[in-house]
Amino acid sequence: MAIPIMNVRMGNLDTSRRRLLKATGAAGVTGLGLSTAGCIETGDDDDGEPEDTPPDDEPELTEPVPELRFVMPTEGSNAERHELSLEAANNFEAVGFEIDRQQFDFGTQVEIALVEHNFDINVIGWGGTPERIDPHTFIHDLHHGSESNIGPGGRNSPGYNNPEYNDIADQQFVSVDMDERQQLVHQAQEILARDQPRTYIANEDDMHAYRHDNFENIVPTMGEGLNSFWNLIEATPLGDRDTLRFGYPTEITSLSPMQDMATPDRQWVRLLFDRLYRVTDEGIPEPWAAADDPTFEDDGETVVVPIREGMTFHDGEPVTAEDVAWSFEYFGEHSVTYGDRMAQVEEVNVTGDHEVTFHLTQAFAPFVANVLAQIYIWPQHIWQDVEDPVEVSIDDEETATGSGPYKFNQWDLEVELRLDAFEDHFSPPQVDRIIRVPGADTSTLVGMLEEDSIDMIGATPSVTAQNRMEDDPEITNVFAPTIAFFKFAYNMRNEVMQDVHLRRALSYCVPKQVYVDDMLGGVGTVTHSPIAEVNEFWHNPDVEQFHFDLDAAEQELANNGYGWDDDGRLHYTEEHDPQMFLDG
Amino acid sequence: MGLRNYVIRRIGQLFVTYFVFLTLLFVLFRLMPGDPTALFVLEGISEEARQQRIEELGFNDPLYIQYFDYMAQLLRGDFGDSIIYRRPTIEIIWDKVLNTLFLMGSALLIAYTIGILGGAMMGWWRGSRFEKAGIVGVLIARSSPEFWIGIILLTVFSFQLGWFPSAGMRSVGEAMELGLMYYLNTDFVRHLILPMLTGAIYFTATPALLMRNTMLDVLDEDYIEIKKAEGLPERRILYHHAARNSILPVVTVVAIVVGAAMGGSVIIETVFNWDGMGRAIVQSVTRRDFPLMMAMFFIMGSIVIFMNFVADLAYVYLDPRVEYD
Amino acid sequence: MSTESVSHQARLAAGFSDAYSYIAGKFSVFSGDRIGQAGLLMLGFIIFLGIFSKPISVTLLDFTIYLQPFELAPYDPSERHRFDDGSLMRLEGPSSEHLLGTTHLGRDVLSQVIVGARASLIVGSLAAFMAVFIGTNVGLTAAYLGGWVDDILMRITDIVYGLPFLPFAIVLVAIMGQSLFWIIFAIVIILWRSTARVIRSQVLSHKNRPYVESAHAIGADRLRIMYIHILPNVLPLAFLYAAFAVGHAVIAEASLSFLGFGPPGMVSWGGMIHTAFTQDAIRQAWWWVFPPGIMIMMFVMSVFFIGRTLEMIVNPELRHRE
Repeated sequence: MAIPIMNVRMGNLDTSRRRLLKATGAAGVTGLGLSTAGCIETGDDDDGEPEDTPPDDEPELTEPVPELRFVMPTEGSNAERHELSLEAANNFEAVGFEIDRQQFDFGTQVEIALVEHNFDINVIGWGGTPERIDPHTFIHDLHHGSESNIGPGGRNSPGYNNPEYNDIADQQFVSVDMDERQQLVHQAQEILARDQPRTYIANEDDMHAYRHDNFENIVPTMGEGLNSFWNLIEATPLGDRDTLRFGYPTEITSLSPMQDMATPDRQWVRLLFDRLYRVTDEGIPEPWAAADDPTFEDDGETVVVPIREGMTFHDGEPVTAEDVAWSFEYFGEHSVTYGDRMAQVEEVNVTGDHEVTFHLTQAFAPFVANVLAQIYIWPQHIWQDVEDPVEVSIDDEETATGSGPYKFNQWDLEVELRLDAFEDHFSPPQVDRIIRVPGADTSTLVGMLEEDSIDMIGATPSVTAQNRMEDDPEITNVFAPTIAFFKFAYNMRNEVMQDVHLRRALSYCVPKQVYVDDMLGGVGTVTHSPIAEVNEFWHNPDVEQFHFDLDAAEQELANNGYGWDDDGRLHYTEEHDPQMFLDG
Repeated sequence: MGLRNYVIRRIGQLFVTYFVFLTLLFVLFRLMPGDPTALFVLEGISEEARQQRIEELGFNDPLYIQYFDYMAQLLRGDFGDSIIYRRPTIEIIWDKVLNTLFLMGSALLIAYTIGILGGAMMGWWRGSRFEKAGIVGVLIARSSPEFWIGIILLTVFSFQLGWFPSAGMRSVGEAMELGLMYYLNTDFVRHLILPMLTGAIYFTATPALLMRNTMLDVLDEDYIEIKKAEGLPERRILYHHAARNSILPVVTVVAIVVGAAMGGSVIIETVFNWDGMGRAIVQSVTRRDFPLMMAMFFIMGSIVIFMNFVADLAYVYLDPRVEYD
Repeated sequence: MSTESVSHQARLAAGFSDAYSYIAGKFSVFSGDRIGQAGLLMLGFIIFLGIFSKPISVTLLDFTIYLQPFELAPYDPSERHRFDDGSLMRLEGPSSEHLLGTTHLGRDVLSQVIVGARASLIVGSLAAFMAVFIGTNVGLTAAYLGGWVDDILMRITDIVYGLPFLPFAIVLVAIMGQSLFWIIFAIVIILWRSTARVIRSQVLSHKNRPYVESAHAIGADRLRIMYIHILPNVLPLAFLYAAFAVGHAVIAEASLSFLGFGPPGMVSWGGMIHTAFTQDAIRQAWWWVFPPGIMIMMFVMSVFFIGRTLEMIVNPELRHRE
């Protein structure tokens, strides 16, 4: 709740460029200190130039456009996005909107966005884990108008429900033909760009760092940088080192894939437990514990997977086809995180000494990437009698027994996690031991890297630290693009946000390039679609683009039933005829 | 009213205070927006699984049932499981409590040693240059927020001179010592020094000023004059007579300083990335890990309330002039 | 909204004028006391910065009246400065254009330091005034009425003593949202307790003095005795506590801001250090970290110095607990 302390304006807001701003009383919370600096971006050059005087035939103004509730992160929770949000809010006001700035920490913001839906504009990003390289999550889960996506806890936070789009999103996941699916995914992106249920702003790429005097053979991957599975296995120590000390700003919450898991958890769970396939940088699943690609039968409704021979668990027991089939059923039954991935699997059968067959209810294009490459192989002999594996913490050698390239050594919560190399693995790591150090924040980790207390950082430090490390003779910065994207969501459950032209006008007010250049220090990519440019196969480069342009925003409004009063405040006009979606 | 009655009444009040404090915590945490399960939506948990989790956590029960469950749990000394880590809260916070006690305990020890000695000397040499400089120095220390002292120490001793590590509690890979050896090793001490100094500098002012003030009173008393007239050496009068008699009020105020130190640990632990309660409170608030938050507040609040109780008792016990009202 | 703001201003003005007349009356004590003089000088400097850092204007309908048209800050503190080639002046050291260099986003540090004075002044004075106002009333009521009123009020004070400030403030801000109002509220909640205790014990010692008894005798009602007879005698102590409270409030605000829970939309010294700390600039950008730190220290020092001087006349035996 923003309570104005005084009606006194302290600060020269009149420096802002637009006549309109003057009237909005845009003093922020109290008008103390933060005045609206002009935006610096190409394509906007209207300083001082008088606004067009309204022609006489301008339609009558009606109601003012209601104030928009803009839910943004606090500076403490995300400084960069906070900066952009403030700047965008000023721009919104500059074109005549009234903005109620609401700053919340991450937890509250997520709840408002995804559960309460109590916002007009909300600022949140979506992470880019490898299974999201397949466009299904971003195209379907984030934008399809099904009840489970739109309702509380669903991931379609704008409540976008366009029947034309829904059809395409439905078709793309049953389409097993890659080219046909690509067409559909491209088409979906076109519609999203047209309708702007969200302003897709940027992919916040990674810039991780490591000490090259300690390690070589670094394998960063898209979306994960140095956290990549391949890197933790391939990184090779120099000299007589045998331990990799890896820093990450937060502790993992759980090593059990049965429990709720966050992205960093998965990155370490998969070192302990093998999966049948692994998704490569290109988003293509390739065999891992499976011996070869799966064979599809019955139009994709039956999937046969050959299992690699000669694998053992950390306790020496062999990995059998029974273990594999049992694991899938067990996860389907219990896992909080992976359980619903097994929804379309009718049954899993052992069809040979080294072969498992899956029967699906209907063909599912991302089956290999989203199911076979996600669920872990667990030892049946350890877990078969455990009734409720969700309640079991994985924090000792027995519970952590898998067949992965590392085996469990010790976990001292929020201090260190130690794993040792599993020498009998078919792809053993290059180090004897890996220690994961949760550092509370990235700048602490940078300090530790500079002091040679750790070897690598799996997070993007501040621009300041990046520049400093660039000059450090012992440290190398590693760039990795990401498919993760950051956006403003517009809540289409609220009447005011239902008009497509209003949303499009807002999108023109977001200085995407400034965000990437200034706030992210160039480590990022402007985007106009939820599918990142680096995701080449699925990305549609020809969608409509929204570059920062306040004139275009005003034009969009003026042409579609909006007008301004003498104070520059945005009103509806009698011609206003809200339109939810644009026709193609 | 006699001392005994006062103590009994005070204990009764302690319970009431405690009860209200706990209720207040419950209300605060129920009011708090932000649902810990919402964070997992970003990671792809289904709505069904989320609802199941909410049910499990008991967030759907009527408030009064939640309240009784909460009180009953606390009575049993059970803080429940951390929502984020799904482990017993007590397991997670035990080390952090010790870490904070180690840090703030050593800081206060130093602050008190320096403060009492320095304050005694300031009182003794009243009106001297030393006293003036001492007062100004102490006030400057008291005027510097802990993060500012910490940053200065870091800049000088860590970034510039490189004598001490800039963060953490021990070097990576050294962490697996158990028991007392967890704390009693040079690596730990090296990490401890800067944050400890930060606390020590900030908290020196209270005992120093208080000690000086009481010294001034005591020095006015006749018996000091008599001792002087007897020709006892100055140092002996200072330490054996004047200082000894001035120390009681300084001791009683320990309780309040401990309370302030508990809150202050948040800052010091953030600056030096010390794995203690203060930092964990901030983290658990951001993550909405209610049981963890609750336990942390419970422990911090208990320490403070209990210390205040002790202070009150000590105060009446040591100072006969106070009425037991 | 306007009535509300008027009352805020009126309260503020009343607070200042009371404090002023009190301090002016006792001004003589500052002569010959170097520490006190230094305090006054530093406080004057910071108030000067706070008032003249940016213009203050009041808009009534279409008229804008400048109460204070001067602007000390050379630049808008949120403007991102660029080199001629368009690249951001990221973390540039002091230069003739930017006397204290720039931040990681090319913002002028000097302007931020100057403008930041206002946040500290507002939070410090408002919080201190309210805390002392509440504390004095609670202490006075508790001590004078005694009995169950005293019991309840003092138990509330005890409970408040059980709340560690920073964790409590962080939770409060998480519940109510991060805003200037709630930050001041949190500080007030924590600060009033020490005033309440001290005023209470002071009033207790006055309660049985002859002048109070004679007021009773002539039939003055209780409110009248409390506020007309007793209050003036404990008011000096209250003002002394206000001076200390300003210092504590400034430290509290700076600490909250340092943790990233500061008042949004305001440039504040604690917030500047927070940004420098999280942006990992404390290792290199001394020009960004040290000036706001020194300013905080100076502000708090000034009120503590002044407080110490006042303390000598108000109550030489005073022991302030905290």
